[in-house]
Amino acid sequence: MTRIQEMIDWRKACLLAPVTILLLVAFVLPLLYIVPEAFSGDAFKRFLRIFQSPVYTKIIWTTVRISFEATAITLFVSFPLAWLLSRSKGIGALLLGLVVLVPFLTSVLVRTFAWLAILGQKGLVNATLLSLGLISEPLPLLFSETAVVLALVHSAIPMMVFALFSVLRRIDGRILLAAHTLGANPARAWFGMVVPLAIRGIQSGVIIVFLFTMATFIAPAFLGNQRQQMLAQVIQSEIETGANWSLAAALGITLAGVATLIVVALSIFLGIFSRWQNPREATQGDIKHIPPTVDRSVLRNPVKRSEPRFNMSRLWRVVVKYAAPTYIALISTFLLLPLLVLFPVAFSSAEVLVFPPPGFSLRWFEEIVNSPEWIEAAWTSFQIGAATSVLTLTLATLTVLGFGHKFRYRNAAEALMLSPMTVPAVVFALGAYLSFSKVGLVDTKMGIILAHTVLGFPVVYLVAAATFSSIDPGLAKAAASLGANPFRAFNTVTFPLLLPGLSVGALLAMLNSFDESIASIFLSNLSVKTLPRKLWEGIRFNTSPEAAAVSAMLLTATCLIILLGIMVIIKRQKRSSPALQANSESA
Amino acid sequence: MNDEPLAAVSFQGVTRRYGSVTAVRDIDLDIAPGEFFALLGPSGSGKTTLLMLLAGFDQPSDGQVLMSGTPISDFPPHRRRIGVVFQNYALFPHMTAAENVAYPLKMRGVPRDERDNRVNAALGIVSLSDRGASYPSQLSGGQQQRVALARALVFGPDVLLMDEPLGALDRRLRDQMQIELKRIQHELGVTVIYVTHDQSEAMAMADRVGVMSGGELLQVADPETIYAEPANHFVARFIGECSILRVASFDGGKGYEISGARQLLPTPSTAPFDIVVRPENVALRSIESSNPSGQFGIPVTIREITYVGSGWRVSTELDDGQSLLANIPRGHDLAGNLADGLNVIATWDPTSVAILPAEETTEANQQGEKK
Amino acid sequence: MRSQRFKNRVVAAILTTTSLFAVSSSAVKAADLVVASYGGSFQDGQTEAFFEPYAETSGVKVTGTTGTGYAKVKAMVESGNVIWDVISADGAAYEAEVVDGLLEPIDYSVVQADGIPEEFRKEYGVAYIKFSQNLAWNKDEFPEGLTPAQFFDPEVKARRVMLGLPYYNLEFALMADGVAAEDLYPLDVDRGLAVIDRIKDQLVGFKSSSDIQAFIQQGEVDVALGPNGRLNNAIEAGANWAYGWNGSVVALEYWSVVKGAQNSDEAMKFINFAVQPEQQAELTRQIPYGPTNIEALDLLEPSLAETLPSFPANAALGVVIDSEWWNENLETVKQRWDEYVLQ
Repeated sequence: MTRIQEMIDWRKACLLAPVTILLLVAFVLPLLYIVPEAFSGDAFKRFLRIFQSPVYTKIIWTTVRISFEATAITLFVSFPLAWLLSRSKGIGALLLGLVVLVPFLTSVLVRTFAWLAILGQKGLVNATLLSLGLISEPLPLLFSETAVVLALVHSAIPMMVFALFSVLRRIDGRILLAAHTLGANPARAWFGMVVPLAIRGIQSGVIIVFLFTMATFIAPAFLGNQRQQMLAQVIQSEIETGANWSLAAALGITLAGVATLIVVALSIFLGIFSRWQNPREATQGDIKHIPPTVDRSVLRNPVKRSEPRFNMSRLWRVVVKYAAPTYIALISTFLLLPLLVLFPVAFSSAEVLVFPPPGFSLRWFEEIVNSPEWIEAAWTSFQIGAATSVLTLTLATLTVLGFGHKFRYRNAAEALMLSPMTVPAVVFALGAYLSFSKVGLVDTKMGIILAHTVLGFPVVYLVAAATFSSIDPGLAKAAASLGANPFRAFNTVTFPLLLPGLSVGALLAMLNSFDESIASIFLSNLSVKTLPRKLWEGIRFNTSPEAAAVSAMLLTATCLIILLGIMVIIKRQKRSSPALQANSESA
Repeated sequence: MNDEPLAAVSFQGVTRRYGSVTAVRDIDLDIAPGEFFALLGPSGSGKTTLLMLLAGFDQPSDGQVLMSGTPISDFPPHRRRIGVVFQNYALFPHMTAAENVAYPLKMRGVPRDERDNRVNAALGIVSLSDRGASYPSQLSGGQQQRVALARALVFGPDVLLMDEPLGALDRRLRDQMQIELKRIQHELGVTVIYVTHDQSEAMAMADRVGVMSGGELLQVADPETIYAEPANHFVARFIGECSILRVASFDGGKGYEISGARQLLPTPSTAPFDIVVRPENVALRSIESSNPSGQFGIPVTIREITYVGSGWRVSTELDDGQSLLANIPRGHDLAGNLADGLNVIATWDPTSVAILPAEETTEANQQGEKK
Repeated sequence: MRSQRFKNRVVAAILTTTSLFAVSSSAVKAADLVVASYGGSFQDGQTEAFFEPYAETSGVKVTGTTGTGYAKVKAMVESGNVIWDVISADGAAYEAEVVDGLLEPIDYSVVQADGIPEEFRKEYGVAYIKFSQNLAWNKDEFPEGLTPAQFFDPEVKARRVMLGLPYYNLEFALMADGVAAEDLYPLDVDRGLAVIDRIKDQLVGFKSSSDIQAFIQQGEVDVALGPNGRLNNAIEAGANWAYGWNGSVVALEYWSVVKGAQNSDEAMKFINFAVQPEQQAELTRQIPYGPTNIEALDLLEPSLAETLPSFPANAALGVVIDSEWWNENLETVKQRWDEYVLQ
């Protein structure tokens, strides 16, 4: 018995070894170059200063508050989108997926500028309201918590949607029908079934978005005022201005600590709702001994149900019919809103990012296409992104399998897995530079790949873990009982079921790597230059429309790929007989 | 058609079209209270569409559905008082068996103690009183099936709809569940509409069977009638095994003639028509055996012999190439020397024959014959 | 215990393999001279004015790269992996780098530029550009212009924006309140904050310089204290704005050599080349920032020279920031500033 247990542990250890090594070498080690800084000199006084000063406690509180607001709103608005995406097929799924990806494909530089052009005094919203005569004075939409949260929600929606999607798509639609026939109206059926069944997706989505917003610094700096200062913003500026690295490191530790605490608390809290996924075997004590002489005749009498005062069925039908299209229209508008600014600006004739542009030209596209530097940066970013997604994918798969369905120290282990997301990017980037340079990894693609793998791993792991939790462990056992060895069982059963979740995760890792600027700037120099670094380096003196043009090209490329997919689908549909299409009797 | 005004369920001229495709066409059907009605047909025949129309997930393009005389098109699914058992049970994985069963009661605001009573009763009736605290993932397939049944019954629905409920169970469990289902239906007196593609299941359990194909209801009758007097070739082939033979009438409809032998049987027309002969009604005897004068008998050649435990199933060929199935019980004269190519005489009783109008393309319906 | 040792060994193994991999790919181009600046249009100008001409005249290959800044320079020196030779450093970064000993002393036997005032030729760097923070206003709202005193007058209603830094702001506020340029240091922080506090509720926020430019362009603010380069950008992009030199606060940009630079001799020669009047004037023609070499001003068209912080009439109205004072006091003042901003 003990021998068998030892063997199982050994197998788990093997599966978990790669990620442990990665985190040790490329995450813990770099931090060891920075963390001691926080404890150098009078460390106690430093931390005391952080927790006693009204400034820092206020910043910490602001950070947590804004993160919670953004996470809650993101969950709320993304859930239906993820649900609709999980239920759609073919063209609909591709188009919805494209809409969800848009925030990811637009550089954060352009996105934040777009919010200025939309929410500003002379922005699109105010201009529209003014011309409609609904207001007489422009509304102060910018430089408020609303603007910051709005921008954060916008960029967090894709992460939340994909985290939820991987779990939602595994929910059997008939469960909703069953709830319906058992007396639940559409809303109750949906909330009673879909929400609890998606709990692991909610958990991973909430954690990803919460950590993402905790570490954010661009949106609050640009769109907020001083009351929306967030911790990562302060750390970023402390490190860059060099005022006080020890304080920056201490603040970084504080941020990571607060984030980890909240995430663990969230995991434990949400974990209560997912206990049913790993129920303990019923013991004697659980079995209620009911009198054998139950009066079964009660079942002959129908349960009286008070008839509603108003017949709501027509209303329900209208609601059900129009709710989804209305919602899709609204959320798509919100997600695509920045494109209203992005495309005109990409074709701007001006030297600077200004909306509306004074004139139109193709100069920025020409500049990019004709510049070997831009092309090389794009190619480098693509290589790094691809390598990162393959690496994270492999590691996440091994880790998820290593943890299995039951793992005693899951909460602790998961907190460790997520820790790269809790540390401010600039702190990690600095540490990575200091440690990687010792082994010559600075200014190599390998170094950036390693850093991006560390940064991207938590997201991929969370999405993969959520998907894995929705896979019936019985399936692999069944395969094993049919004579499949563990490898074959994984290959033929678990992996195909896990694949959608993994590919979503890998896509997220790739896009993250494509947009990540801080580690790239630190770890690259002469030989390697990534796209984000190229986009960011001019920012000190001028904000040129190049960023918009690059985003426009990325978007166009993605649209073309999606279009190709749609054409393939249409071709396939034409070939198959119409009778087969209509044969979708069962919902 | 039944003229009972308060049929539990009544389909009146129901048609459902999806674009250019008609899923069900002009269905008229009344199901009496307390009846066990089986809707039988191959997949794609439209029976699930009918079920969805009844459950309220879909609306008919034409016609209407009534329950106890009231049109229900205005009632959404959750107000239709229909218990549905889905093919894969659709149990709620995040609730225990007892919570699953209590769900419809909660939705109807039943007070706690009545709820407990009913849940216990429902779990009791499906013999799962001791598994109430288990989650679906901890239950076997058969147990999950029972929970689904208890859940659909617990609120005393007028109609219990079952969509291929036993499809996922193994043979032995299925037979056991069939018996239990019948018992429960008797005990509670609930109207059951049972959708299946398995004719033996339908025949074993139903009071009446409706056979569907291509979106149309081909025949509605009790199992004996369906078997003995199929309304058309499809029903004949779909229900049990049979041979369909093309025959000619003689003397203006006094009887029919096949392979030179004549049998007296009033026939509808003078044109050639088809007869349905069930294998258990065919008797074979050796050519040498004595032929009582004037008795009907046709020469056939044995082509295929299958041992079926209770005897042999024999496929034979008539002189004109048509084939005929026959059963040979244990202890039959021929049992000892059955062989391929053996010439024998086949005979049957005129009362066991069903008459069908001649079908132009006999092969066309072949695909619907066996699932 | 054993597993721990095993783990260590695995870590070591992984480190060696990855490093082998990495070293082989990173030990590529050893450029003759690496100059780190900021990228973008500024660096394009530097390439035209300095890098290319120097490469032509000296035959040394000059590689311009980006990302200069205190954090990266410190990381580079601490890791012993010094790739850059010459860096462009702003006043704050320069002082911080000096304190941390990240720079080589300038070899003034090589660097000869008499046109650059004595106080701009520091031990570890030569100032080569003057940036200034100027008061700017929307000409539609304030056709008559605006004085620094008006900027801090709460009766003058306007949407204002200031920089998210204690420096520049405090100097500007104190001068607007009547403190003479020569009496500024040591700064009276309390007084400066009190001046800013008069109009704090009319500020949209304390922002970065790139944000300020965007806000001006998009009509988000009516009045701003911002860098003259950014103000010029906005005006060129069509904003109907103007800026003045009253109370302007000037900061310096330095050429420095990173400690342990592989080509420090060549670096000194490059700096010498770059601070000569002709080259300085050329940079200003490319991108209108003020040269420190006064001889360069004479080479420029008068209409351009007038717009520069270096122009004597402009310089007289403002003050050059005392980055040494700031370097000593940044930590305490920053804390006061942060507290004030968050109040």
